[in-house]
Amino acid sequence: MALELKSSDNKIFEVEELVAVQSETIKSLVEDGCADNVIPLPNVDSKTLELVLDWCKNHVDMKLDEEKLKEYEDKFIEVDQAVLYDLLLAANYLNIKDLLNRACQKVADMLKGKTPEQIRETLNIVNDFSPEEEEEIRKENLWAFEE
Amino acid sequence: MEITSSKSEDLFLRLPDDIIESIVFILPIKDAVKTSILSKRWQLFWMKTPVLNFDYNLIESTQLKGVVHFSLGREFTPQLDQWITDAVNMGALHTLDINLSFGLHPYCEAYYGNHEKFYDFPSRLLPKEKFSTIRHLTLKCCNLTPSCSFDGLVSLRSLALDIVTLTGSFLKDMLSHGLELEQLSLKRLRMDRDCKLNIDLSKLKYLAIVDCERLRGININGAVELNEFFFAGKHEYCSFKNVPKLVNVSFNCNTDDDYGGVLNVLTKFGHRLPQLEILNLHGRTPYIVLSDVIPQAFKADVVRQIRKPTKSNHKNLRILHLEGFCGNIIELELTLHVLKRCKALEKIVIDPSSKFLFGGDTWGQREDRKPWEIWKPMEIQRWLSREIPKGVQLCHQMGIWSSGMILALGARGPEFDSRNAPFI
Repeated sequence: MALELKSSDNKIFEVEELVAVQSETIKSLVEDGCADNVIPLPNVDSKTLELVLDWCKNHVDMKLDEEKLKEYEDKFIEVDQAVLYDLLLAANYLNIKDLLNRACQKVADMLKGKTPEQIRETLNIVNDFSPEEEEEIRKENLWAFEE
Repeated sequence: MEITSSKSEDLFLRLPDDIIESIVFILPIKDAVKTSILSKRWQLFWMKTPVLNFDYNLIESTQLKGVVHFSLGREFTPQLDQWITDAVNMGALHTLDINLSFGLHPYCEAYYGNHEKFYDFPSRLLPKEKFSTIRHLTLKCCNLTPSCSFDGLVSLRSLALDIVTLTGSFLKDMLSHGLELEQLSLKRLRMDRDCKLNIDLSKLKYLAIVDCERLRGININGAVELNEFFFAGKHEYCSFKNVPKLVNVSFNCNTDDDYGGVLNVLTKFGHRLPQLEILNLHGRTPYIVLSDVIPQAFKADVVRQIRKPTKSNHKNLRILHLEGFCGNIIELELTLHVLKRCKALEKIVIDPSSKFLFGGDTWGQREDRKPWEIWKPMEIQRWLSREIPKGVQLCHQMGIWSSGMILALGARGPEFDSRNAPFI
C-alpha cells in the first residue's frame, strides 16, 4: 500500500505504508482512516522529508541487521547544523522516536565537555544573564563549573 | 563575522523546549548542569531530568565531598541510599552535605514540608570506620529515625541540621559524641516532645539555634571556646554559664512579648554575659507598635523598669544592633539607657527595616511599607539629636533594606556637639 505525502513546498512523495508508519503521527492518521488522500506535512520541507524517508526506509530494510543499521545511522547523522536542526524538528513533528533520539544524541555529543562559552558559540545562544545572576548560578553548583 | 551565522542565529530558538530537554537529559550530569548558565531559557532544563547518573568523574579525590542536592523524598529511598553508599565508599569522605529541600520556597519549607514524605537518613549505611573521617555534616529536609546511630561521629568539626525530624534523646546522644565540634547549627528541628539541651562542648566556637520550638531549655554550660551565638526563639529558655569567650550574640525575638524579651536581654543579660561585646537584637512585631497605641500604664511601667538602677550593665558591649526599630518611646528609652550605662559602647546601629527571619538563614523583607516607616525615622533622628548625650555621633546609613541610623560613639568629649554631626 502506498501513501502520498506532500511537503511544505508542495512536492509529493510516494512511500510504502510500512515505511511511512515509522512516524507515529502518520501511523495514527492511517489508523484513523484519514490517509486516503495526500497527507499534507506543512512543517517539513522536501529536502528534509527526503532525508527522513530515507531513514525510515533503511530502518525497515535493515531491521534485522543491527551492525549495518548502526553504520547507516552514524553516516546519516553527519550533517551540518542547519540540516540537523531541521531533522530534529521534523522527527519531533512526525514523532519518529529513533531519529529524534539519534539527532539529540548528536547535538549532545557536540556539547559534551565544552565550557558554557563554547556552547553558546556553537549554538549561537545569547547570554541574557547579568554578571551578578551568572555568578549566583555558578555558586549554586560550583562543582559543575570547575574544570 | 561568518555569513552563515545569519541562518544559524535563531536555530536553537526554533526548537521547542521538550527537544532541548531531551538533549540535556542525554548529557552527563556535569555538562547538564553547565547548561543552566547558557541563558535564562536554558536555566531550568537540566533540573527536569528524570534519571540522574551520578558520575564519579566529577569528584576530585583530595577532599572528597558527597553532595546530593535535590528535592527528593521517601519515594527515592533506594536511589538516595545508593548515592550515599557510593559517596561513602569512595573512601576518606570529608564532607557530607545532603540537602533535599531543593525547590522548596523558604516560606514553604518549614510550614508545608511534609515530614512523612521525608527521606529517612540511613545511618546504617555509615559504618563507624567510614563515619570517622567525616568532618562536616549537613542534613536538610530528612528524618533521623531513632534507630539511627551516630557513634562514629568522633571527628566531626561542624554539624548543621535544618528541617530535620529527630528525638530529643537522639540529639543529646549525637552531641555527646561530637567532642571535636567547632560549629553547631540546629534549625527548625522537629521533635516529638519538649526537651532540654545541655551544651558543654569544649571546642565549640559557633552555635546557632533557630526556631526549635521544642527545645525548652538551652543550657550553655562549659562551652569555653564559644565565641558566637545566633538565636531565634524564646530567649528565656537560654542560660549561660562558664562561657568566657562568648562576645557576639544575636537574638531574634519571635515571640509576642518581645518588649519583655528585649528588656531582659538589655538589662539582665548584662551580668550573665559580662564579656559581651557585640549584640544584635532583631525584633519582629513589637517594634511596630506605635507610641500612641501602647497603653499609658504599660508604657510608664516599662520606662520605670528601664530607668531602674541596676548593677548588671553590659560593661564590655561595643556594638549594639537594633533591628526593626520603629522609634516608639520604649525603644528610645532603651537606647538612652544603653547609652548611659554601657561605657564601652562604640556604636549603635538602629535599623528600622522591616526584614524578618524566615527560618534557616533566609531573610525576607515585608513588601508593604507602612506610612509611618517613612516618617518615623526622621522623627527618631530629631528626638535622638535632642536627647543623646554629648560625644555621641549620629550617622545616617542607607542600607540594603532601608535606611538606618548609626550612633557612633566617638570620644566622649565636651567639644563634640552632636547637633552638628554630619549625616553620612
